[in-house]
Parts: sequence; structure tokens; C-alpha cells
Amino acid sequence: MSDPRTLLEREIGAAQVSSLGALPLAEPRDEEQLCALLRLATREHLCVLPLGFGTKLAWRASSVADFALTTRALSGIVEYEPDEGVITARAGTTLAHLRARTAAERHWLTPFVAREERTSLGGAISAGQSGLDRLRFGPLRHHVLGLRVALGDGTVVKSGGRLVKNVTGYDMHRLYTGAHGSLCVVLEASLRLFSAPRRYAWLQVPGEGREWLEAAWRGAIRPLILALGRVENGWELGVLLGGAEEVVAEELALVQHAATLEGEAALTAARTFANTHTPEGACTRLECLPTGLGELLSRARGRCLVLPGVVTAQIEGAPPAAERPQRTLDRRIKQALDPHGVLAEVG
Amino acid sequence: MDPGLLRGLREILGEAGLVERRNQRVPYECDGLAFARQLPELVLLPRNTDETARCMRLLDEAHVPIVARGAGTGLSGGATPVEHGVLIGTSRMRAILEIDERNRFARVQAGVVNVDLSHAVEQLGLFYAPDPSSQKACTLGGNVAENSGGPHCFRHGTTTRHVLGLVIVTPQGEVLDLSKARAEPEGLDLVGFFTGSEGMLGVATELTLRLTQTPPVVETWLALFRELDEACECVSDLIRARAEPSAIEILDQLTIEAVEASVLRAGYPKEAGAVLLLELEGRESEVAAQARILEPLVRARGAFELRRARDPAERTRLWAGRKGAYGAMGRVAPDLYVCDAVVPRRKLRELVRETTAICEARGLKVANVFHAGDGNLHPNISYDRRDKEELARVLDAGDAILKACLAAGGTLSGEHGIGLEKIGAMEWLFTREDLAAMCRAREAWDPECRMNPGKLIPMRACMETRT
Repeated sequence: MSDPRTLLEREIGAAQVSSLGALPLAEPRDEEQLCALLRLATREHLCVLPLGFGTKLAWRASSVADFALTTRALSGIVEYEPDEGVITARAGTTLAHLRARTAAERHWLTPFVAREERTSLGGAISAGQSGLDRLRFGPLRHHVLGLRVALGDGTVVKSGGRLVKNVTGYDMHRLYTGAHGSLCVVLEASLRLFSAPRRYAWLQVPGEGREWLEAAWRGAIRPLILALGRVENGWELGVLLGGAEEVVAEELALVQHAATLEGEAALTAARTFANTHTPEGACTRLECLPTGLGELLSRARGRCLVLPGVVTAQIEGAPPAAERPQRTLDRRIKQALDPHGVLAEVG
Repeated sequence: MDPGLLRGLREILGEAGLVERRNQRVPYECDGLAFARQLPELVLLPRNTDETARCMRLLDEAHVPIVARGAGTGLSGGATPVEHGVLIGTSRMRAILEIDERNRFARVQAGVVNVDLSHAVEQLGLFYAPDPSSQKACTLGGNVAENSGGPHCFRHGTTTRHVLGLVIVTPQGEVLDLSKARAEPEGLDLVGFFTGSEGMLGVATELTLRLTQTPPVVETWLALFRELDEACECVSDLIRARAEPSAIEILDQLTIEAVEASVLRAGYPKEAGAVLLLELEGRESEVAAQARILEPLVRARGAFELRRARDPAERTRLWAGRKGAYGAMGRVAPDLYVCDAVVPRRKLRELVRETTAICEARGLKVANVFHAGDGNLHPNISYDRRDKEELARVLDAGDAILKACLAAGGTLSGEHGIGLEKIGAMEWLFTREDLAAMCRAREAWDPECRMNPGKLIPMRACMETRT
């Protein structure tokens, strides 16, 4: 049997095969090539690690694979009807590109995450990556309206659609979102969009911002973004207010704070905050109920981003070795959708 | 029914938990899809997760098919029993187990009626957001099975966005405890996948549900139009303008007449060709900002009147009229076929026109009352199910409506589900491979396909998966 790199080069040409550490990294230029690679892997009993830009690979515990496969060349917007409030794009499209395109039409794209120019749509969905705007809009998985994916054997299937309301068939996309590529390779996704506000105001406040969190929790303010980041001597709170002119003015008056930045500068500051505090590389996720926030903050070390609501914290450092044993049902679903075990397991 | 199995079930449930006599089983032979009927062999009414699990273990050993049922208000035949099958009802699982005010969630048994949860938390300034029209009767467990919607889902989202956790009894009778309220799933999103799976993966016995804070200001607006077309165009305008009310509903003239002639008498003006019912919520400044967006749009589309509900009593009456519209249609004919399809929101007018034309061409009376803001159409066809020929025309119209919606980029169901009703249409939308993937995911939960067999996925697709 030839080694994986030789097989890949034979299938799609050497120019499209590079390296990711010790692994050969295949970069198919279209869906046809991608599916051909999955069929090759099925035939040759090779194990594939799917990725976008690979920025969240360390979110999953170590994965054994024969080659990595990136969808980053599969990029571009497939359909965007601004009057419908839905966007459909290929997996390799960056969130930065989608945000710029939709912002021009007064839409807000969720999730708002760090380093969007290096975050692909498929990668965010596969990692189930919710944004700093989660308190306002909810987790990413609620806004994935439909997916087209390639299963391990190269079969292309879809679920959901491009409509804001839809209960037709099983929501297979709920299984695929957050599965870290273990069930399928995302090819194309449709996301629900929200109205972009008329006015933005950014505030960055030292401390744990308890009164802000309280105000947001009881609805006195409805920030677009609300997140805590760890700094040297404790925490700082990032708040992006957004809404009609008088709504933002009222919120600023309520919190007795002048906005430090407005308009595009406010969005830039929010991006900087996200980039500063979101861990790069290995990352552990902690969760607690809103009432458990204090205790969670006291446990955090290193670079750390905390999102309120049912609290999630992304904390620098590898997940502990004693991982939760995988549920039997998770395994059965994996076995059912990827019977040949082509796609790398999650840790 | 095997006497040994029956004895075992009786030991678990007692006499009160078994419905054996034929005449007592009759009420369970159909749900809201009244023309599909099948008498269940036996009805089981467990009181909790443990009883449900023990019963399901016995049924698993005996390979007996199972259909779960909440209040039977579903409209797609999701709770229609199957031949030689047992029906598990949740009507004795009515307890609210926990209300966590500070963390804003509730844990309830599956048989709790939708509106009862909102009533239970009202004093805390909270409510449960998904509000199907049948909310006074339908159960939260049924809502989870169908991923139910409702008028206010325009802003708050359908049931799936409000389910934080579930306790599921698998078809093998194992208890899968996923009840902990979580921000993100641990492993695969089994809770998200289960919600809306139409009772085909197991029985959810306990639900952890998100509670939403009651907004300080709620305003209900009524825009009256001479023509249904204008109301539809106005909704497309609102979406285009990025308006975000909490509900955008349309009622047409026939619906208004039926509601106003009924006991509901909500106060909808009978001279209107269509009513656009809008709800705005939030802080005062947010509501005022929303109102400023919608007023000029509504007037520009030719509304001859635009007004706010004067007081909470009028507001309640208007919504009671909207949600009671299906019942009120009983004045028009004995039966009502409630179609459910979704279309792109920029194509509302053309699709409402087309669905009306489809019904009229078949000599059928159609009324429209629908979740316009979500593009979720409900052409309601009045008929008499005793008239077989008329029923055939109704079903034919239903198919034609679905095909028209699909051709426009729409889909088969926005909130009622596929069930038995639209199972044949699944192949119009999904490829054999799409359906095979769904079958395989289902078989990971239920290899024998004993849970709610013959629903949602055409049998042929499943057979192909197995071969």
C-alpha cells in the first residue's frame, strides 16, 4: 500500500497537498475533489481529520488520523437575499467575509468570535463555536438553518434549508454542529441573520462588572456583546451596546457611563477584546449556571473568555486527561453515519 | 396482546395506568389529523420516568411498536397509533418539578400543558415563550416532539431554542439523563436532535425548559387592509426594513368572519379584507423605536386603519381570537384541514395567491390565518370528512400547495411536522441519500424502528438503508 501523501498527490495533484505538522494536508479545490478524497480514504482505510483553518483543532483532544483535509478553498457566498434575512455560504468562507457582506445590508451575523479572518464558517459550525454575542442571540446551533455535508464515504446529504422556520425531517444539522468533523465534512451552511443596530457603543470596564451583568440579565440593558476577559489583576468586561439611537442613549444613561467608542471604532474595539481574551491553541470549556459565575471566575487561570447566561468559559490549557467517557449513543450515531470510521474521532 | 406482557405492564402501572377497554381506547385513535385513525391495542399512562422505562423495557422484549402521545392536538398524525402497537400517554405526568427563578429554567414532566407553565411562573415575571395556538391543551412533551412554534416564535424562536435539557427513555427502556441545563452540549447535541424528531427516537419524560423574562412593555397593533395582498406585501416590507416585532400574524376575511361570529368575538373589524396583527415588546424606548419603523410602512401599503390595542383586556381578546381561529372555523364546516408550509418571506403575496387559487380551482373554501413574519403559511380548508370525494379534493389541494411552496424555495412544514400527513412528500424535497442518512441516525437510537413506525421517513428510504 502506498503512503497517504502519495495517494493524495495522485488523486488531486502535489500542488494541493501540504503539511500540517507530521500529517499530509489535502486542500481540495471543490466539492467533487473533496468527495473523491473521502472515497479514496474509504477504499484505502485511511482516517481523515477535517478542518477549516485549523484554529480550533486543539479544542478537541488528540485525534489520530492519516491525513488532514481542509475545506478552506471551498469558499464563497452561495445565496444572500438581504430581504430574506438568511445567508448560505460554502464552508471555507471566513466569518470576516460574511460579516462584512451582511453588515453592508444592515444585518448582524452571529456568532461574533475572535479572529474571524481565520475562522471559516464550516470550522465554526463543526466546533459549535458560540460568540461573544451569545447572551443576546443564543448559541450558534440555534441559527444554523440547514447544512449540506459530505459523509465519510463521500456521499453528499442535506438537512434543514434556507428558511427561518422549518421542521421538515430530522434536524441532522443539530448532530453535525459541534461534532468536530467526526460525523461529516460541512460543505455549505445557511445561517439566520439579525437586524444590525443603527448605533453602536463600546465600553470596556475594569472588574467583574457584576452590576452590568445583573442589568443585562434583568433586561435593563440588551447588549449585543457581553463578555468577561481575564487581565493581570482580575477581570475586565467588554460591552457592545446596540440599537436605535434613543435605546442606546437610554442604556448609557442607565449605566451612568459614557461610551468610549462609537460606530465602526466600537466594532473594532469589540474585535480586539475578543482577540485578546479568546485562548489560542489548547482550550478547555467550563460551564455553570448564572448563579455559579463567582465560583467559576475564581477557578479561572491564564487567558480566559467568559460568556454570561448559562455561563461558558473558554480557558487556556488542554482539557483534563480524565475526559468524560463518550456516551454509548454518541458512538452508535458515529457508527451509523460513518460506518467505515473514515472521519477522525473526537479524542 | 400477550397475557404475560399485559400482566407485567399492570404490575408496573396498576389498573389506573392501563386503558384496555375498547370504548375507552377510542379517544386515542387519532390526533388532530382526524381522517387518519387506528385503534391502539392498549394505552399506557405512566406517572413518571421510572414507570415509563420499566414499561418500555417489557415492550422492547416483546418487540411491540410504541407511539407516544401528549394531548393529541398535533395536526400531522404524529400521534396516530399503529397497528398492533401500544400508545404511551403522558396525561398522568403533569408535575412541575422545579422552578429555578434565579437561573431562569423550569423542570417539568412531559404531560404539563404548555400554558400552565407560563401561568406557574407569571408571578415571577417570567414566561415560557413558545405559544402554539393549542397552548391551552397541548403538552410540553408534545411540543418537544414536534418542535412546536406559535405566533411569538417570530422573535423568540421555536421550541428547540427553549429546551435546555431532557430526560429521555430510549426504545430499549434505558434512561438517558440529559436534564442538566447546559449552554453547549457535552458531546453530540442529542437534545437538539431529539427535539422535533416526532416521537421516533424515544419518549421524553422530563424537560428542562428556558424561561424568558416578561418584557416591561407589550403593545399589540392592528393594521387593517382592504386586500389580503396588501397585508402580505406589508409583511415583506417589514422584513426588508429589518423590523423585529415579537409577532407578525395575518388573518384573512373569512377567518375574521368566523372569529367574530363565534363566542370569541375578538373585535376584528368585519369590513377588513385582512388584518395584520403585530406585537412589539421590550423597554418603552425599544417599543417606540419599533413603532416608528412600522407605522410609515403599514400606511404606505394602504392600511385604512392602524391602531394599538387600548388595554390588556383588548390585547388578550385579540390574541384569543387569533389562537381560537381554528376552532371558530367549525362554523364554516365540520372539519378543517390545516395546511402548514413555509415560503421565502419575500414571496408571501404570490404564494398566498397561488394557494388560494389551488383551493378555489378544486371548489374548496380556504381561509388564511398564519405566521406571516416567518413565511409560515396555514391555508385552512374547510370540509366534511364524511364526504369521501371532498376529502380527496382536499388532500389533492394539500399536495398541490406543498408543490407550489417547494417550487418557490419553501418547505413542507414550519411547525406541524411531517407525521403521516406529508410522509409521501418527503421524497419531493429530499434525495434518497438525505433520507438514508436520517434513517441511519434513527436506527442508532432504535434499531428495530419500533418508535412511531411509519411516520416522517418513507418506508422505502429505510428499506434501502438496510439493504
